[in-house]
Order: sequence, then structure tokens, then C-alpha cells
Amino acid sequence: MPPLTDEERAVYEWQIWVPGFGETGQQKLRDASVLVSRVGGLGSVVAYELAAAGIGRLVLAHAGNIKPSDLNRQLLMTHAGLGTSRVESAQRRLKELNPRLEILSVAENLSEANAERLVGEVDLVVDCAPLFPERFAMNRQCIEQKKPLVDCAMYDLEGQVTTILPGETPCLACLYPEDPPSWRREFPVFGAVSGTIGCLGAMEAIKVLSGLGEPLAGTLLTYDLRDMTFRRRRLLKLDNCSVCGSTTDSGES
Amino acid sequence: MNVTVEYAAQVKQVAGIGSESIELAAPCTIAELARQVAERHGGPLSNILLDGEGAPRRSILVFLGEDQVRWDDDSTLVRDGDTVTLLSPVSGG
Repeated sequence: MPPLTDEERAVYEWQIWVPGFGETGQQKLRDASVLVSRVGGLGSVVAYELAAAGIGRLVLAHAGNIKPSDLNRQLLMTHAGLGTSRVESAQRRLKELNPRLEILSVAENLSEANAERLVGEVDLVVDCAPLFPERFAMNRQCIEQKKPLVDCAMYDLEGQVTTILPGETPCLACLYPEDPPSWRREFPVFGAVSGTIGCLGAMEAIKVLSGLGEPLAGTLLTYDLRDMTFRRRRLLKLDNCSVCGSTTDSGES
Repeated sequence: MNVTVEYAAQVKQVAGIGSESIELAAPCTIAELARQVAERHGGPLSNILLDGEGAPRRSILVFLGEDQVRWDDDSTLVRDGDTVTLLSPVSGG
């Protein structure tokens, strides 16, 4: 890996001081690429934290234009940008923070049609998408291409995150073998809730890419900000999972 | 015997409470517990936990303590003092 430049050392000095990370960790982040699937309430914060941390390349996938109801949580969108492209707004805001960052903006949501190509662009994927078919397509491609998937979700004042490591941990289809009939795309949430999960998801991505700490592999972190209860739940692989083909019953990696 | 049942996400919303203590006559499977909870509350909570034929929905995550348990696990029994969490799937956005 090429050494850090003086500018990179100056910008990332405070995190280079983190034990177990150092200049090597920073070089790994700079050489890494991440797909953030939707840059909404969760994905805006994931992308912003990764841009701040010095990730080398981001692929942002999100269709549509900014709506008023985006602005309570989608922190890369602005009031002035109402009616304009979400990914263009996200790209502009991220480049203001980190002009060294390379960004591929895709004005599409992830789908069966583009999942193989989008996942193929990167080293790691962060799932910030609201619809299960979209998340299942992402999960299938991550398993097939052996790419780590950080899976983030929220509802009301609750959040959850887990890190799927292909071949090691349960996958999203192990957790949810069928499309949940009760889920709806629009649901109650605060930006302060999506922000917490976005930060946790970004930290998981940083850890997996740099080798720092222990990711939530086979573990679902759940929390409820109404009473600040945080739990670590151990997940099970699904016997004969149709996606990851798990055959054991032990979720711990 | 008493067990604590915790509700999360949409399950919590339709239950209208975050948790409750339930008295059971004897240790039972997770699926049997869900049926008792559904019967006790009826309506929306029953619909989110059970399908039209009264079988637990596979998309609802269930934890005994901090460990996930499968709905079809007949060998794991809920016992006095246990805490069971029923969690409906959620997403980003």
C-alpha cells in the first residue's frame, strides 16, 4: 500500500492515534470501497462517517428527488435542494467534506437487475434500504461475491445492526426466510434514531475493512432509545438456507 | 410459573405495551407461547404473530434470553423466569 500523504496524515491524525488502527488502518480505508444502498436517514450518516474517516471510494445508490419528508433524517439532503436528485445532493455534500473521496453516484435503487454490478464495484456493502426485496437481492449478491454486508435497520425509537460475513455468519435470508408481510416502506422514526444506527453501521464497516476490533458477526445488536436498552442477541444460521446454504445450527462465528 | 414476554418494533406497536408477565401452567415451546400470547391479545397482535392457519410467522424473530430460537424448535422449552422477545422485521429508510 502506498504511504499516506502529508495531507492525509494531517486530516486523520486523531483516528490514527486509535490503538490497533494506526497508519496501516488508514491506508486500508483509503484503498477500500463501500456501496451504501440508499442514502436516506441511515445511509446519509453511514456515507458521511465513511467520507469523514477517509474511505477511498463510495458507491451511492438511491433513486428519486428530495422530498420535504426526507429532511427530518436524510442529513445529506438540504431544504434548498428540494425537488433535485438525492444522489447528486449526497455527492456534493460528501465532496465538500472530503474532496479526496472518489464517488460513483447511481440514481437507481438496488434491485435484482443491478445488484450484481453494484456489489461487484466494492469491497463491502452497507444495507440502508427500506424494502425487503431490495435487501434480499443485496444479500444474495454479497453471499455470491463473498462481500461483507453490514445490515442496518430501524423503527420508531428502535435500531438494530448486524454484520454478515459470507461463509461465517447467518445471512439476511437466515434471519428472514420470507418477505415479511407486515412491513411497510413508510414508518415512524426520528433522524436522531437513524443517525445512531448510521454511526454504528459505519463503525462496523471501518472495523471490517481495517481489521480493528470485533464486528457484530453472528450477533444482532438491538436497542430501544425510549429507555436506552442495548442488547447483543446471538443469531442462528438457518438449516439449508436457500441463499447461504448454511447447514449448521450454530450462529456464532 | 411466570415468564416475561417482550415486544419489539411493530409487534410492540400492535401490542400497545413493551413487555408483560404471563403465567403459564407448565413449560412450553416458543410456538405454544406465541399462540397463548395471540389468544390473550387477539386482533392485530395475533395477525402479526400467526398466519391465517394459526402457525407462527417465520419472519418474526424470537429470542429466549439473548439467544435466537427457531419457531419449529420443539426441544427448547420456555421455563419459569425466562424472558422471551418477539421482534418483527425492520428496515432502513
